[in-house]
Amino acid sequence: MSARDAIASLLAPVAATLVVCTSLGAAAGIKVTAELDRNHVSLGQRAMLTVTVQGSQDAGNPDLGDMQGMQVLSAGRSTNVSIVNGSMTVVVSDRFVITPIKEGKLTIGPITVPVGGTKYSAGTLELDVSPGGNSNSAQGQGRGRAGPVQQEQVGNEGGSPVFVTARVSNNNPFQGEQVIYTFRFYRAVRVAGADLAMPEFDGFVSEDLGKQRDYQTVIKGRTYLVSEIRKALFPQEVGKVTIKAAKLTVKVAVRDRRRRRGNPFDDFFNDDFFNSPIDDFFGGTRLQTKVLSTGPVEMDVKPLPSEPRDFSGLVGDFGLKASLSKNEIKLGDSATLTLVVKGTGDVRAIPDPWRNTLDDFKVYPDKPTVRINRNGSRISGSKIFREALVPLKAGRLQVPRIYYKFFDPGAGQFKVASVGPFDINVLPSKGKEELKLTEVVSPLGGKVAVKVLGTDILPIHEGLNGLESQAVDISSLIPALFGIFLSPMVFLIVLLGRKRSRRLEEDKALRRRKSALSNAKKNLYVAARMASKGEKDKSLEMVSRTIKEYLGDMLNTGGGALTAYEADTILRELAVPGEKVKPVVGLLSELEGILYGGGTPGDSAQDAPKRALKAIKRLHRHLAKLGGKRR
Amino acid sequence: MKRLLFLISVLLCTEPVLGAGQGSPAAVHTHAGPGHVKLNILGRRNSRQAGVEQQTSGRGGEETEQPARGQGSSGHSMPPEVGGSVPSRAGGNGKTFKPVARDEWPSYWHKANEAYKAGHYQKATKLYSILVRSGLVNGHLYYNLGNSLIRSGRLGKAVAAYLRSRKLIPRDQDVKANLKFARKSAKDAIDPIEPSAFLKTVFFWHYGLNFREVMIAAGIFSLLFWILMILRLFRRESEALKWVMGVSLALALAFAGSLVVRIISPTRLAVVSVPVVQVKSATSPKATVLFELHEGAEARMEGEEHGWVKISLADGKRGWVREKYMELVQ
Repeated sequence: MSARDAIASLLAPVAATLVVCTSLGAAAGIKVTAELDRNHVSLGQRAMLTVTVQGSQDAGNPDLGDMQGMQVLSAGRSTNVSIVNGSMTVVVSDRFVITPIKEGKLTIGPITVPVGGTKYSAGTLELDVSPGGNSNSAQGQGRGRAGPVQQEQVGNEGGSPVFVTARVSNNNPFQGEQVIYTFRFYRAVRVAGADLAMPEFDGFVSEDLGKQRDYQTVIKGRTYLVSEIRKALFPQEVGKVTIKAAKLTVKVAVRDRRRRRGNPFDDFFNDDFFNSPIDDFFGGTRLQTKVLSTGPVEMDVKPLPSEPRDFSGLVGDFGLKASLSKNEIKLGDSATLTLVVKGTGDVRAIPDPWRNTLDDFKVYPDKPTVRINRNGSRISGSKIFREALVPLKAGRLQVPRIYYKFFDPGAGQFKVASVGPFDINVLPSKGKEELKLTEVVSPLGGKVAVKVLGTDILPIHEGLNGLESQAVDISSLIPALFGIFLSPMVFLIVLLGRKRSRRLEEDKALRRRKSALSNAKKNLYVAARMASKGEKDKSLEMVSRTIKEYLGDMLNTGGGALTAYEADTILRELAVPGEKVKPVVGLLSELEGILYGGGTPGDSAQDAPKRALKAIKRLHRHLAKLGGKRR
Repeated sequence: MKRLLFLISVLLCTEPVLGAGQGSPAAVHTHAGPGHVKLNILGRRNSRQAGVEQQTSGRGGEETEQPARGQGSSGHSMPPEVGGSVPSRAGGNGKTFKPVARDEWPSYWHKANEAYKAGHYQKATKLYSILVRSGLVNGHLYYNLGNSLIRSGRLGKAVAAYLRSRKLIPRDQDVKANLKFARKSAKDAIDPIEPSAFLKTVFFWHYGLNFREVMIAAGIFSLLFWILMILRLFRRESEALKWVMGVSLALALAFAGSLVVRIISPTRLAVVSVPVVQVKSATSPKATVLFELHEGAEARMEGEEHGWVKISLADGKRGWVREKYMELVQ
């Protein structure tokens, strides 16, 4: 990695931030869409309508038009701002719970949303309502939380607090027909750590369909939270096919009876689940791991009717669009033919378009682009083919009709989608060179490797940087030496200093000990000056007080009231040698005699500070060694 | 002990890390064939192979050898083209080399460049070599020297010069390109002593920076880490401080690790600088000839003994070669 690369990598986040800031202001292009989570419901069931505005946060409330035959309840608005690769996307979603009140084909819309004074239309949607028959339809919503609540009828699992189901939209599809596999996880209790093992889908091509959906439903009067995962399956084999069971391992919170009843093997299904808020409050629950299985799904795949000639192999509903970039070109120039195959089905499997051979053109095909839409109720999308057509002769040339023959399982018959033919007027070229590609179709597959015609060494470096010494010298060693060796030492010194100062702050006795000798020296200096001025009594008193305070500081006691006898006793208890104790105690005793016994100071006042300092110094060496061991 | 001494010498003196090979072999021609050949494994006593080794008991009956087929003897003089960093006698011709003063380096540099551009490659080689032997350690200088050597037909020495240049300016693409060209020109089909692409990618700072850069980086990041450690003593620890400390410690360790690896186990390479050389089983002219190497072949140097070097190839083949036939890159 070069230094330039390193700098570039350091600056990359900054640049990315700038790009994001720029694009925040530049977000534009408003798109309004509306989507129903299901197109078919029974009376009593509900559908969720989502109106999405992409590109603006200033969207007003959607106008759903004349909602005849249904009741509408707003389920709230959500705003999602995402920034990917520097481009910002704002999505505002309004959700509505649609409850049909009559059967038949109901039309929602036209749906419009006002955004910044302009009304944007999302078109109309159709909801097919069949006669329902759910006896529980009017019940069970008492405990419902915010969000859509649907009524469902599920098999035998309906009574369990947690269960899973797997359904396919069609158990008897044609080979290659899109079938929607839906896995649902129902729970009426709290769960944690769900781990889903989907089946292998052997004999199918599978595609994920949308993101996981979460909603509420009511089954037999009980509200369930449902997580739904869908997959689009394209059966590849004819005959009976079995999709194996999906297994979900989940930790379910159950009431812990062990503490109360001492039976650890309570049947999970006999437990009471959080029905008592008191249990929750006292935390009388535990997590129990459960493995839930959907059971296998049986399908009988029908073969396609006898295939016609030129059948593309596509099963679904597809349309074809084509466009030519130029209708008139010069000989040697190129025109781009763009083909868009769009529809519902296995988009990835769309083969190259079929047409008669192009004798009059040289064709440079581009790599096709596939766009898959997974957000609807089915997999849909488009595959875009681009070709650069270079005419080989002048005149009026024709690109023949392009077509696909596909099988529409809805209609149960083969259909043809076709475009063209296209006419191109090729003008004669003025230059001698006739074949040249002037229109670039990116990326073209016709690139050729660079042919190496010869090899040689690269030239010498002539810059004056060739004269700069790159030897390891002292200038490069200074930061290395300081950084690697000296800075840890500096850190150690600072650390020790800080520890010492903290210790002194916290340990009063230590602080006294550390300052005892210096304080004594200062006081004795003052006493000596007093004595020299003739203030003998004051000087002796100062000396006596200094000795007592020194001893008090070193022994962490109240030094002011210490007598010579007490000092002698304490020092001897600490095993201080007699020759070191004697001068201090003797001087203290002598001073006590003069100050409190009515003795005369005489010459002793002159040399008392000096004697005291000498005695203290001798004693200090020993007491300092004792450190914190003394009382 | 040697490594310790090296570390001390690195830390205490300004001796260049890269030393040039010692001694100068006889003047040789390079081969021009671009095709690679498989190594000829002899594996047997082959002291009388025609044209490869001659017995001339000129020195007390001791068997001596000649480096190349039909080329001059080892006693011939050689211009002081790729000298070491310490001024010494030039190639045994008896003349004492006088280093060029630092003030004159630019003049020599320009003269050498001009000579090269005029096609006087021998002269350019000589001028570049004078700068090298005068104590100038610079990757661009070694690169230019490599160019003039390869133009003069001295492939082995050119490879060695490019290897030295790469150690000093490891990210220079010209050096990589010319080294690749020189290696392609070598006759032996052996892999160069190179770390794998994976290692080069994972430890990019180790292979992409020279010794001096790694040393400075290690010092700076270590200093930064310890400053932050001191700062941590006096102020409340924040998440940001933790992150910066972690990153600086990681970088300091990475660079220090690279430094330690370079000091503890430096890559010592030897490049064949004569047309053909015999690799023997022991440090004796009478020892069995194990295989032959051609000019420009690279080997790892594993040891030295009495004027012989122990080499190993990338495929594991080992043997002893006269030091004077090899250009050492240390």
